[in-house]
Amino acid sequence: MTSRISLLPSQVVGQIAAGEVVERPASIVKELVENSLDAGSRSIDVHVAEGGRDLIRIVDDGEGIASDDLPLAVASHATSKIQSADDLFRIQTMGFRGEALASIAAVSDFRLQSRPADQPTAARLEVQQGDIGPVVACGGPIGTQIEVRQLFGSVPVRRKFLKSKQTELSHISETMIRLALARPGIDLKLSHNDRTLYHRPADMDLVGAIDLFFGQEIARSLIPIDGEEEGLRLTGVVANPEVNRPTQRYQYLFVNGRFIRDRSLAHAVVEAYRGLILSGRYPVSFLFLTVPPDQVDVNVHPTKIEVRFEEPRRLFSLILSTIRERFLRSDLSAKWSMPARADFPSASTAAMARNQLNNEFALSGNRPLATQPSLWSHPKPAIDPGWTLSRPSEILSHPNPISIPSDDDPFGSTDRTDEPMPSADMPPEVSGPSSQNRTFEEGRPTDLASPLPSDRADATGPIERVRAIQVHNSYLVVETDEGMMLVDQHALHERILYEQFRARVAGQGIEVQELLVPEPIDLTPLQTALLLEQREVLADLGLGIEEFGDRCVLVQRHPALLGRMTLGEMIREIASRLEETGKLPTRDEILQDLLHMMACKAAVKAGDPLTGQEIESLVRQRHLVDDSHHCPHGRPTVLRFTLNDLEREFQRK
Amino acid sequence: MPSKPREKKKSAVNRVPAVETREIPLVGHARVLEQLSEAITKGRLGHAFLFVGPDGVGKHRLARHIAQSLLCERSDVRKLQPCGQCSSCAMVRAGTHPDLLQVAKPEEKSELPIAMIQALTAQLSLKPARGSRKIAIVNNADDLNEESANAFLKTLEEPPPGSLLILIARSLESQLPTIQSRCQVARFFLLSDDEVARILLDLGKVGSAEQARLWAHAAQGSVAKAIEWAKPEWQELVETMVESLAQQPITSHQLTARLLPFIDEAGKESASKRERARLVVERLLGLLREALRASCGSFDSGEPGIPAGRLDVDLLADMIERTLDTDYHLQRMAAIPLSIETWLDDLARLDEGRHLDPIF
Amino acid sequence: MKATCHREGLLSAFQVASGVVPQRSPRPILRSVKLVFSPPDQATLLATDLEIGIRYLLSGIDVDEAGSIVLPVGETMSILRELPDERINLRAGDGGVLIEAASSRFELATEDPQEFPDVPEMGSEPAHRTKAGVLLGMIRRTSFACASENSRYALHSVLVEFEEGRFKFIATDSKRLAIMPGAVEVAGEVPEGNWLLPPKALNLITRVLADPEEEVSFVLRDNEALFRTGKVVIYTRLVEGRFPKYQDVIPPEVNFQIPLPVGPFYGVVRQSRILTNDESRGVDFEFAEGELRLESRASQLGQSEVRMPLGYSGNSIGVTYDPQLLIDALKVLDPSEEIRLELADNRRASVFRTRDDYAYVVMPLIRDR
Repeated sequence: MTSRISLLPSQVVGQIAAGEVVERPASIVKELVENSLDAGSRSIDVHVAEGGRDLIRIVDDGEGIASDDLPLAVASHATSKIQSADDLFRIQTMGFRGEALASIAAVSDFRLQSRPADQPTAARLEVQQGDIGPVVACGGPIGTQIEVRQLFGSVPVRRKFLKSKQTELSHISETMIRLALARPGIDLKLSHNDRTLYHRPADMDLVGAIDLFFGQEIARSLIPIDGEEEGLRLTGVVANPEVNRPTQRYQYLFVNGRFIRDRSLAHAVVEAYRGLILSGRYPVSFLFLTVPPDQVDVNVHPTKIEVRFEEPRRLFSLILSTIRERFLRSDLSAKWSMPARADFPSASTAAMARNQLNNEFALSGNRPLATQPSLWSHPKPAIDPGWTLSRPSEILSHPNPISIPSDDDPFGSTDRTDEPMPSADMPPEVSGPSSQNRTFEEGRPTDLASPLPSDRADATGPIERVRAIQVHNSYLVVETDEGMMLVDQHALHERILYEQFRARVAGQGIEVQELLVPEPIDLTPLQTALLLEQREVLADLGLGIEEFGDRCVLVQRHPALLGRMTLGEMIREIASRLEETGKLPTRDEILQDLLHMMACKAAVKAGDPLTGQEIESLVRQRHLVDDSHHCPHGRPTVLRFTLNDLEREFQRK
Repeated sequence: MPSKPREKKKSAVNRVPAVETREIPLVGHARVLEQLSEAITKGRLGHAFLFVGPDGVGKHRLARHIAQSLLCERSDVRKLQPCGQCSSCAMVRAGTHPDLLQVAKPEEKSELPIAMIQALTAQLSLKPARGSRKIAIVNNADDLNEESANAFLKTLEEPPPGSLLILIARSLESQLPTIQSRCQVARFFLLSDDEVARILLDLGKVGSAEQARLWAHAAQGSVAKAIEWAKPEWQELVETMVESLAQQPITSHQLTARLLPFIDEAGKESASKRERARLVVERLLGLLREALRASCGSFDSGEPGIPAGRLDVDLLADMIERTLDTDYHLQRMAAIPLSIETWLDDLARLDEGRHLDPIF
Repeated sequence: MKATCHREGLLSAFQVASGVVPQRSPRPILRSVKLVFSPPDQATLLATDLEIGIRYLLSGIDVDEAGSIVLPVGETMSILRELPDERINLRAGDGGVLIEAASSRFELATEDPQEFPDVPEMGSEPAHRTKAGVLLGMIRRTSFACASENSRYALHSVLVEFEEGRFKFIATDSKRLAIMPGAVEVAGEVPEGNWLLPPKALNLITRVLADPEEEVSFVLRDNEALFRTGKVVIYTRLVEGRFPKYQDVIPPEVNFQIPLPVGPFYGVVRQSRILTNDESRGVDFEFAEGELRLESRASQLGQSEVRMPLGYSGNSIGVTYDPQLLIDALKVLDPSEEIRLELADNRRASVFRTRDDYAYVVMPLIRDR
């Protein structure tokens, strides 16, 4: 152990921004994983339950904390990293703020177990909502394990302010993605409620990781970047301008291995793409800056994603010129022939879109893997061919992610959430990638013909008695194992219908209704132009439109599936989506939009009374909506109340 | 025994401002009339007009006058003077003429809904019922949202034969350029005090010429305001305002307590409350202006007002400025009670010789 | 004005008229009907929604004093329904109308009759004449094919056309087109033009016409059309706009001619529709020698195959139709009739023809595989 934990001199304490470290589960994950990284871990396993509200567990194989130091670790303002104020200006490590563990321990049921390599046994310390217990010797593997349970259990107000499980989980996931991108060569794993969300093996390269986290569309379009200027270095990959996004979220910038946000530098990236992508669209980039530590002040913002540079202009111009130059050297109008694309048939956009649709609907996990020379300087072992990539975004957005636990995954077995940490008897060997295929199965498609789901629906799941009632002809109150939930009946039915429509359409081609006389649809000039621009994509969907003045299109044929929509409604809806998102929609996106619109129109509305049978069959399919599902208007669709919540409200607890 | 109103629901078309049962002479806006009459004489009447001007000066009134003239079965169209006797004139007055379509923003909405515009264009797609013309009056054209405006554009561009569209709006700026460019614009200005007074008398809203003159002056060119302010509740309110402003210190708390319920009574919809709040502000502004004029030795309207010499010119100027700010705040959707309360507090503070905190 | 009428006669007139009067209107007068009394024994009831209107002639009334009154439909009908009396008295009073019966008395606040919108009358001009049955046939076989309300106005109407000495009704929603000629005794010279009738008016006509043998006369003016039968005159304004050039949609060549008996064909089409849904509404029709086979397949719903013997001996052809489009038309045809399907190929418009010159044109569906 090179640097033992020591109490920070008080002046350093004063110089540290007194921000809240523990904002939400994601910030705890960040603090803890950063600590693990600083402890030299090669493998870090993060497990959370219920979006981190109930449990956050981090298991690393780092240098560990000596048993004598355990109480110090949870004391305020202790850090093993900063010795004096001067060090603040030469930050090499990441989690330099000592209050992390203390703050977390103060608001949760906290358990810290650690064993340095030179210690024969592990030691454990428990802190119950700030109440520090004694250090107890115990068996355990080398490294540190931290368990955070009942976050904000003693601060109900703050617990209440936690967002839904899914929201918190998505923050955690984003945190892990940032850490994973920032720190290659570390085996990182994130699982939620015993399901592996993703696993980035130590040997996975940058492109592989991007494929893992962001999908192949981005991974296949990457262009390597490398630039240098007087002690500053820029490396990374940027996406071909063809592949862009409606938000700036996909611009990742890391400085000295730390994820940061910097408006000026983000702007440099956008600037480099100027003229290459439409306005309102943003580039996708993963950039890694290496800056001498004394030229960057990381202590500007408590959450440490904003930093201050000594010479921001130089960085700006380094980014701008490096990307620009790289683009100039390439013929951007042609398709990129990255190695990874070589085996990808150079097909028309339509065919690709179709392909994507199939993928989308089949959700088969077997995608060709991009093989790409590593952009990191770390050793790059061959990629295990058996590892099937799964896109986290897809998995996370899927209401019921299902992963098949593998034998070598200590936390993969079912229902382990509440069990204690692995003890010495069962050494947790956090492993690399398993070589077995993991496939993600969708629940069997629901099979319903009537506007309201029929009883056949339950053929998929175990027969269970559903206890539900309708209130105010708008909401369903449903008893669940954990407590109860309130469901928006329209949202649920819409979702069910959508899934049905999707399954049906996936199973067959699209029928096209040819018109005897073309139908003129009046639009705004902008909408007209946008639609005509997309004429080919629309034609592929069976929508034949022609120009007819600058505020009108003639429809010559349309998909037969209009549901209760009129043709005009559909065209205008598509046009306004084009307008809103500026998105160049693929065939499946338009199709999905269409299906969504149909589902929305066909679903029961708030205020429609339902029969007992209807309620029952609706509720049987409630797994289709969960906390993550918001209706297209952004409203939540489900409210959950655990038994705990209820008991607390009734003051039984 | 009045017939029981069966359904309160609004139908899309034909929802119009008050029905007039008597023929009331048209006052003012001679230039607009001239412009139109000349166009008709020369056979160059366009098919779409945009009447733009402040509220309450008679834009709708004039539009209906023109509609009636064009639909009148007896009088010469060029004179733009309907006979007032024929059945067409009777139906226009009653709001039952099949060839006169009108839409207006429903009170509870903040925009003119697209369904209304669709219903209007559907009705316009029928051939004329009685003569050769169809006239559509679109009130509150400022409140056409983009969707509604676009739904209307096609009709505005190629109106069915024989149709005349009259859009009525407060400002030209609030119109989509596509709408503006397809209409002939007729601008309306505030009426003179004499004109307003004459209308008030014609409408029988006031008892005497003296009163008519008083309210006309206070209303500053708007008949609608004059009518509003001639109402007893406004007169009482003004008395309270004067009372409150007449002595130092200004009793801003009492005044606030009096004004807020009054504003609240304007209706359920926040739009009507806001409307009333702005009228309140304007009414008090009128008092301040009057006081300013009086202190400059200008004409005395004879209206009950703040005693001359009570507030000096500089102070009045500051108070007027602060009042105009309040109107702006209200216009920009600031919370009504907050705006009113701070405004009156600030007036009191100014009166005490203090400076105001800058408002951001 | 003062008169005595039969309660029931008046009530049935009100019932007919109430189909015209709008349910909702901001003006009470528009939710009213107007009664015009003319001595010695007649009254005309007028109702309108400003688009269509009706004049209903009542006779057997004792008119003591001529004049007009306006009565609110809802209240008046309730009164007429509730009163037990055979005859009732109507009298205009100060700002209201008095309805009096033996032991009841209702005073209704009403509007000025002068403000009531006019309902035009049939003049002395020559009127075309036909049987109610013929007119009903023309309406029933076409009006269902109109486009829905929110589309182009010209398509949300039925076109009346006079061509080669015959009147025809035509309607389309751009997926299908229906053309029905009718035997009409034409009066005088028919001016050139095409008249677009709103479906609302046609609905009203079908509700008013009862006896198919009854004579109907009608006039088509520039801006309006009027239909008269017995004591009722129906008025409608015409729709502006141009009807699409429908003649162009029928392919000039006919490569397949398939005879189909309406009843059985209707039956198999309905069967084949069962296993279709919004996302998969097409049914494959295979017309082969001696047999018609219909197949439908909807994912997760199942599939069907329906057969029917066919008096056809030409080449086979397969076409995909939205069965609903066929059902709409087959429903209004006589089940014992035989129709003929004419096809150029399976992508262009198909035409179903009856012996009485009804033509129903349907655009097939195309499967995108």
